[in-house]
Amino acid sequence: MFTIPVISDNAERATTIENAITRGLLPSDTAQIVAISNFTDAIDCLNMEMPDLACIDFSCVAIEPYRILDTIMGDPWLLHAGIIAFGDSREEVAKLTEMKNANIIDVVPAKEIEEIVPKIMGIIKSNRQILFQRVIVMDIPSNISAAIQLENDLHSASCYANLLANFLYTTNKIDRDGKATFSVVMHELLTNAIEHGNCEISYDEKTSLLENGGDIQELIRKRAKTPEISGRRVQFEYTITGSSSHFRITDMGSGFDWRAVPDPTSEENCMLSHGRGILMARAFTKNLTFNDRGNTVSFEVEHVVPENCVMPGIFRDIEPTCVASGDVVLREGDISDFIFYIVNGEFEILVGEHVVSTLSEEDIFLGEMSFLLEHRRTATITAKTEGRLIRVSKREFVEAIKKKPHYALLLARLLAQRIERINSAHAEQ
Amino acid sequence: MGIEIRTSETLTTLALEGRIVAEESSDLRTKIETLLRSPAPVKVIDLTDIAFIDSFALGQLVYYCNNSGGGNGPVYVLNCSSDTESYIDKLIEISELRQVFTIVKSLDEIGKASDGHGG
Repeated sequence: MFTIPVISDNAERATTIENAITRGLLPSDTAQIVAISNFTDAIDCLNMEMPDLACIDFSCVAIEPYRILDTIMGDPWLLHAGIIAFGDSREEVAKLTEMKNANIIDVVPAKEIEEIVPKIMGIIKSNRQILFQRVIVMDIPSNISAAIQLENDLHSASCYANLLANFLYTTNKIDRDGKATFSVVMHELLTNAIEHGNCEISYDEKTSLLENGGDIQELIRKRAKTPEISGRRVQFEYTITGSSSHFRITDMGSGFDWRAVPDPTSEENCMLSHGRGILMARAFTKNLTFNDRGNTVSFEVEHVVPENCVMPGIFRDIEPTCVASGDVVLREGDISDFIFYIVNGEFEILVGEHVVSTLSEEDIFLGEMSFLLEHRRTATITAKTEGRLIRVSKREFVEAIKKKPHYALLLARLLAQRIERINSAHAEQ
Repeated sequence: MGIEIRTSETLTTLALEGRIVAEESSDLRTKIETLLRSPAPVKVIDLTDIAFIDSFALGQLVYYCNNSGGGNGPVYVLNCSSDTESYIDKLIEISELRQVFTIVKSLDEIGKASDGHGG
């Protein structure tokens, strides 16, 4: 069960959004759509439910939508996957689209709710493995992989790019600049797959279109409706590992000669009207390669050491402590009046001389059990690799929970997940 | 996508903000043409506040600004970002936009750049 708040004081609009969400989900999807019509209830819901997705109607001034957005941007942990924003006017939609750092998946003009929202939900649903329930993500020690098929629709491609960029950013895989460049790469390569791949718009055709003021979107829409192209899809696959993310995009077109694309940085080609997309994608990724046929492109994105990344808002002002491989972080028998938030690194839990578990930033905290139970430390923890930890005292943690109760909920969920994992392991033995 | 023309007696600026993508290419083209037709002696495309620009929109800037007959003076690209690692700085470097436009970090630099071009 996951909760999707629909925040709007326009009852008719809220109903339209709810219906569109429901249409985009399967009957087996256990989503609970919660209608919220004021600022206070919206913030309460975000704090208590920590939803993965929220729908906010920015045309409703009374709900103070930009104040809600500021609250979310002040602490990205409040909302994991992101926001579907709704706007009435073209100006409103443009304003939202321009917001650089907002966690917005898509901006939907009011008149297009019924058309666009089910598509967005389809994309979100296909990626629920990573996008719903942050705690599940934290509980997966191995790689995360998924595959999805996209229609020849640039809007869906853009929504998908935003969704993945948000995910990589909020899980500390990429920093803020990395989020911008990743969005560009995804946009360029998915657009290429739809435009040049499936819709077979040639380099010369695009040049002519651009130089004569044509509309590329319109051409794609027209081509995508033809019988020979309408069945084609873009296959998108990804694997997210601890240190990098790997992507592969395949179209169903006849391929293109990527070796023949003119180098737009050379003196003779620098005035060409296009051909810079692959250049940008290559520069912002690692190991970008095409297959021989030219209908599959693969690339990698290296994850950053998360020093510039999203961190729980309440811990941002506390200076991290650096640890070296082999350092003892916590010692069995010590008084436990603080907890560690794991910024990065791997840490071994030792009972006696036996390593009973290894924790990393995906596990979020170190030493929370004895901290909560007010016991002395029940295990010794050593750094397996270099890492950084934020030491949070009991006073700081309690003060933080007073201000942001959702951190207590997060800790409770985390502990429940760990107990469940231990129970499963026992059941298998 | 935010595309705005700002005009004064001596300066016309095409200010771009947010996501500049192919979806609204006709609006971008119209505004570029307005910039190029402007009688102001200094013409500037301000890229400082873009979140990202796709290759189609970038191609439009390159094509129209360099195929306008060139009789109405150069077009400067303004990037006020102080962060040399910013997305826009990286983009300018990767795309070799310096071959196509005179890039300036502030409007004050335009006089110096004009002198450098003999203008």
